[in-house]
Amino acid sequence: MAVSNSSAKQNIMQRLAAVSALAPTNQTSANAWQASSPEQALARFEQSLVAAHADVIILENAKQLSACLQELQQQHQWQTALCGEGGEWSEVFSLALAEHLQLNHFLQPFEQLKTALFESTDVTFTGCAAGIADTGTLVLKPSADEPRSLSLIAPCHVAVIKVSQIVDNFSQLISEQHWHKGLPSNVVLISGPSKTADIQQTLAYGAHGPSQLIVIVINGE
Amino acid sequence: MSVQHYYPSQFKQQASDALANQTLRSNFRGAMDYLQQKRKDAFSDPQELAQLREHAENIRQRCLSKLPQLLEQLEKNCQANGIQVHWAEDAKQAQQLIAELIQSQGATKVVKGKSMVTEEIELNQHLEGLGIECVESDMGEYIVQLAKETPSHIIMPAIHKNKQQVADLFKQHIKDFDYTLSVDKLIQTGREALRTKFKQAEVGISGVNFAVAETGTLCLVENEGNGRMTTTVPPVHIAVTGIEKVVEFLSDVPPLFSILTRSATGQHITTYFNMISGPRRAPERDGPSEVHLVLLDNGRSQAYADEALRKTLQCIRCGACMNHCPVYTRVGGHAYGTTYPGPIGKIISPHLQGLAQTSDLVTASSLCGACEEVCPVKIPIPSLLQRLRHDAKLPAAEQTPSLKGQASAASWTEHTAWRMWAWLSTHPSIYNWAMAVGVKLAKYLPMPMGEWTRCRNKPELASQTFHQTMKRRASKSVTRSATGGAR
Ligand code: SF4
Repeated sequence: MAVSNSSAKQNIMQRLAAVSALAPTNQTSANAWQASSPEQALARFEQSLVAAHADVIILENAKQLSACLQELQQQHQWQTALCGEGGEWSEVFSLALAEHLQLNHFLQPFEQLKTALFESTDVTFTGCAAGIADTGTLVLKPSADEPRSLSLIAPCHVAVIKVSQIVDNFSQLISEQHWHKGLPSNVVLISGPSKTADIQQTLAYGAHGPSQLIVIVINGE
Repeated sequence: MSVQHYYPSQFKQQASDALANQTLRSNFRGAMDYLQQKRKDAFSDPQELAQLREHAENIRQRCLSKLPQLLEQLEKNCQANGIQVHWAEDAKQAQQLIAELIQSQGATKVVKGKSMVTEEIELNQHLEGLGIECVESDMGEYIVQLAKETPSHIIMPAIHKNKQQVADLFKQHIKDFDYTLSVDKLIQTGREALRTKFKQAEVGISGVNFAVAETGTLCLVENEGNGRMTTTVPPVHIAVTGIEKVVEFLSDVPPLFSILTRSATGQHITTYFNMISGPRRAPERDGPSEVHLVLLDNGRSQAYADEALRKTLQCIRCGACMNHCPVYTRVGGHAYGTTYPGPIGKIISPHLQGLAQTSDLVTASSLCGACEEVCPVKIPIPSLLQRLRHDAKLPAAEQTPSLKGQASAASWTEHTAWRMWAWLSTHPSIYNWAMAVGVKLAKYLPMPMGEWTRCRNKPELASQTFHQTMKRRASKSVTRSATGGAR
């Protein structure tokens, strides 16, 4: 590449290095929210998501997922959908929905699916890597199985999460999962449908991302 | 497209214009009341807030104390992740560098997600001159761009406009726009217009909220999803950030993120928190195939060199200081004529543009302290303003590096007046004589007295000096006590 700016780096570093800055000596910490019981964690997770305008459905077990998906399809009259090719739930998505709507799988590179994703996909389905109870947050680690754009471009995103995946707060998640050892190319925290208050402080949903987020929590095996 | 220009050197005129604009004032008043209330609700427990602020301040100070090492570490880890790292000393270098990156792709269509640093380097105008279209994708910035303006707030760029004004703009610029004042429909209109742009874009440009040295990760905070679109859909992503945005550990991120969103808009979390640690990796199917990071100095190292001024760089750009500033809430963002308006703008702009341009800004404060009180990283903004006022008028103290534009606002008359006053005050007999004469002549003082009486009445001077009054009183009480004295 034509751009060479090693001297810029050198000059900047020289200016910074001429200074000896002392670190503050006092150690502080911030107490992040902690649940007193798993029920409380789930309740906070649900309340925060609902407050952020997401729909939350809690199922007793994974067996109910198929019926739930079909019901949603009926209710919203989705015609076209996209889900990952791998991913924890992709088989359930296929079995439940293939007969009821046109379900595509994310098999090709994005470039080939771009037009379909932007123009003719009603809904996308994904699993989650984790959940954060404190803020009502879904954590997605997109991969070849479930690419980044699955949670971004269609007007509705349905995400499935197991209650055992929900931790109390963001700090806890980072330390428990050893995120400092390295991260996938993209990790995204999602806490509701896309929104904006840029016009006269009036909240509107579906600014650029999905206007609807449906979270299905599997509360059991 | 020529953007309407405001200049920091014309702050006084721009501020009076803004004060006379009733629509602008009511738009800002409404927005600021809303944001103040939202922040207040988000921090209902004062103890928790105090603890969180102290922690955030410590994190930022620790990271700044190791800035050179952290930048090296960030570069190394980003490169290991496949992110190409570039450095720019000033706005011009950054413009050229980014333009070359775009041109090396043969690209002419660019989308940009909210990034104040690219406003700072006036990237849009530069790219436009090269025949590259750069569309702002944040709803507020898109509106502002259509109006050929610049953002008036760092978090809510179109805060100075109401929905009528937005609808009128859309009518003027968007084909087949069905005139409406429904905010939902206006946003949908923007969404559709921008989707076309996202689809076509060859390069996406974004800012960075936190750059994590430990893992080589770029974090972006947003609600709309335009940041994710910008960094996911186009084949090339260029992130542009100031060198101060680096944090040491991933574990530094959650507390800063939490206090940022709560201070900014009173949200406990934003809709999206996007952590980018590299381009598309095989066998991934989407994401850009190239990611670049541009690290910009542009005067930040000047602030860094001085222990007090370094605190300016703790800023996490939440905007709380402007939302609570009695000056900003009245004159709005454009009057400042700088990319960053309000209190943070007053203390950072002198480093970016020099004191010669910005010396009026540092005086545009009543030093009420509201900004410092709400700042999540406890930047002592009022005392930094006082320091910069000093630097605008006088040479740097010994052992202190001189700032760009140091002493540029020095005035011979002011300086001489103070020198005379100092001399007079240390020579009591001449002082007393001069004062006695002074009060006699006071009634002949000209009216109006320049700036002083432009918005004040001329002060009524006493007919005697303070010393004369006290002397008289003393002699009276002596007489009184001599005659028994009680009332
Ligand atoms: S100075 Fe403090 S309050 Fe102002 S934008 Fe920066 S962090 Fe926020």
